[in-house]
Amino acid sequence: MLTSKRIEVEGYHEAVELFYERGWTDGLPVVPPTEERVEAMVQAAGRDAGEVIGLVPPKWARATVEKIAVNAVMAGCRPDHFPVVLAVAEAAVDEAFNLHGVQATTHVAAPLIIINGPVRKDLDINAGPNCFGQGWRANATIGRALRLVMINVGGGLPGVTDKSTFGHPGKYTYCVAENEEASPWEPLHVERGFHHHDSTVTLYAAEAPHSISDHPSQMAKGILTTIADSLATMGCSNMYKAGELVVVLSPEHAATIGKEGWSKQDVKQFLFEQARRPLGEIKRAGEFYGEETLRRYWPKWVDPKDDRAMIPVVRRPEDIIVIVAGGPVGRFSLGIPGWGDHGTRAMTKKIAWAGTHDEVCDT
Amino acid sequence: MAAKLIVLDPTAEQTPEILQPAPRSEQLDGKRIAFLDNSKERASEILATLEDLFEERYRFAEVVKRRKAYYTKGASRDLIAELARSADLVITAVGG
Repeated sequence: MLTSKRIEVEGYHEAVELFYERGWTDGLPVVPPTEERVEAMVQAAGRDAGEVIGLVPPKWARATVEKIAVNAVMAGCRPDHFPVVLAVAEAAVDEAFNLHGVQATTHVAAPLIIINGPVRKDLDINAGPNCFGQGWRANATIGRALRLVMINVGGGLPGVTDKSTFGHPGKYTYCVAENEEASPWEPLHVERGFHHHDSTVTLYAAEAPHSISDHPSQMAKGILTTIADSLATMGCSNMYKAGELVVVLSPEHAATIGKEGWSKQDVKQFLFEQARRPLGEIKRAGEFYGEETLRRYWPKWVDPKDDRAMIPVVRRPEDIIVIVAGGPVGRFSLGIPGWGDHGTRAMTKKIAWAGTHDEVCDT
Repeated sequence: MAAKLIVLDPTAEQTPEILQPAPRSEQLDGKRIAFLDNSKERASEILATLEDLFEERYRFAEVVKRRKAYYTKGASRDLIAELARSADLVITAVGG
């Protein structure tokens, strides 16, 4: 039994305009959430409409299955997308993700959703060409559903409670699948303790993707040196505030690296060792706060008196999250810096997904 | 006449609970004061300056200093409970 307040409007277009007037959109027209559509969404999850998934900041309002379903309809989700949306909501409201900070920060950070497992094929979630761009309903609407929940349930309003100086386009939607088939390594969810058969979402507070171009390098070290240099930049929040960051290797880059026998751990170790900048350089800019930065964010072995000390962009190799995604052609990869160590960690949640895809990837 | 449409409200529809501020003391001598550093850069300097100014004017029974783990997150429930137990008033600063 749905308990949301009913609003009567003249028709479809009037509903679209009303939602704009009430400030209930992300700036794009929404699908009017009729009772029938919301009911179908709730049924698809097989959960009680009144079940509270969690509290969404900054209002700390209750996100029930019903309210998430209303926003998922508005986003354009199909009912079979809804179990994924619920898993995303569970990750977002987990205290360890610190959605409160992500909602309110002056930083650009927005939740990036990375999807793994059989659900990718079942729901046609794009992991291939243009996967961070437009064109796939699942990518567009699952990410959008989260943002609408953040706006309408959580009260994250730009300039009011959402103090982001710039935002970035990922605040409309930011959702990709990992291209597990093109990866020489275990997928992200297996690395994080799940089984190949499981379908998961991983939520990470992310900047927009930074393209890293390396066409000439035909060796792993060349590609990863280019990536390392692109990560350790003066204006990168990770440089001063540690935290996690994501590297997305294209299938072409991943194949070159994998062919030489590098493991994912080797990749992370290399990047940790090479993605560094001398203390003397970064003291002059960015967010260097002297004693505070040294004590709180940087590894203990950094000698504050040595301007030649090489500061790593993250505190440890494990804080670099590596996935493979993108189309089969193009020798680019992506660096996606994070928000820094602001009490947020990438969260992985299992999707309640039976699925129909029978691919078995036992290793 | 075109059929009307019924749509559902996407907000949480919760009535906010209005909290009243705790009563303020006019007399601060003999009180226990706490300084809560929100942990943003230089909040400690703001609070240290305030502490000096307060101590010029008042005699506190006790001065408690605490610091949040992250400026992007609220103080933990344990920390708030501790402050409520150990202090009569809490001053917090937002660094920047």
